Amino acid sequence: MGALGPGDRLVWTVVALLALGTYALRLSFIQLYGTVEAFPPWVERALAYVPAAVMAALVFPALFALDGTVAGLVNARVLAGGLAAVVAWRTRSMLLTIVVGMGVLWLVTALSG
Amino acid sequence: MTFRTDFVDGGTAIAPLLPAGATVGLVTGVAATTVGLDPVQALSMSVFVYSPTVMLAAFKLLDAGAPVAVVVAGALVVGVRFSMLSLSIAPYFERDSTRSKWAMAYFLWTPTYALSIERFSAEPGTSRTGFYLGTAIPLWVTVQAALVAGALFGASVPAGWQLGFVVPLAFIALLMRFLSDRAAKVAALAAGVLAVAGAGLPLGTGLLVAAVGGTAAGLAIDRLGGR
Repeated sequence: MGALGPGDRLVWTVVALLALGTYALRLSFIQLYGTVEAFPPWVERALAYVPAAVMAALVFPALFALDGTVAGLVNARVLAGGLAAVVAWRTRSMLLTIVVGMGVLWLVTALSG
Repeated sequence: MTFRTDFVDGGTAIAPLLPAGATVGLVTGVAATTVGLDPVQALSMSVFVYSPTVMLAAFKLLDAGAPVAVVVAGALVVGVRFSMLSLSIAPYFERDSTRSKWAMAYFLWTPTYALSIERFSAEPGTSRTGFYLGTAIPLWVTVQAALVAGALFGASVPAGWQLGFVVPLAFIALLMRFLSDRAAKVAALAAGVLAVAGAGLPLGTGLLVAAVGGTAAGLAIDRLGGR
């Protein structure tokens, strides 16, 4: 049994508040853009770098950090992720990137385990 | 280009990412059962909130016995990155009707965002709502179906398969598409290092610091003329 009982009213309170909150965060600038004064030019320039920064911020910890601690520079995930990155860069194929990455991860895990 | 053809293009673009979406949904469904949600509650939550990361954060806090205010505040901190995606994609939807903006906002999620931004800047003539929804709707259906499967069947996938790694691999494929110039590469490297350094920060605030810091680093190189 988990933290909540069945039919717990707490669940629906949390669901309602989270639904409103996440939706507001998503809608925020899509709604505001163009209705408020123009953003300063540097904001527009900065927006060009958001995609690369967000993607890297999601990728790096999955390779180099586990459970909040730095896992080291060489591990199965780094090898798999590194080769996957080369494949992604050379082929632009998402499917091939994922297949190669998982293949290397399983291979390295099997060989080292 | 029409709504219909660009919708199909969006569907084609998202197809290779659907296994990653399914994995995320599955993991979230399993996590939902561990805090005592039944499949109907889990699916309702996912339909209304539509963010596995926000939900997983909420589950972690619920499991720790945190009060509602802390659960909601903590989980929403994890969702703050949505406002960055919102700001980044907002110029492309500026001329849309309010109704369309509200619908686009509901589906705003990292894979849809990344594919759409890439397409919108490469092909200005794209039917933006068409392509965007073409990526968003198949992903939505996949995530919700996988979440129900996870909530129903629990953790029957062996942990040794490390299926969760599909998710960072999908993001690696997306990341490589954005390393167009030197400033973007610096932005990515700075964000990556910051994210690893901040991995121990509570509630995923490290991700936020990293995204903002990386963007600032890219902007700095841009301003120095080092593109």
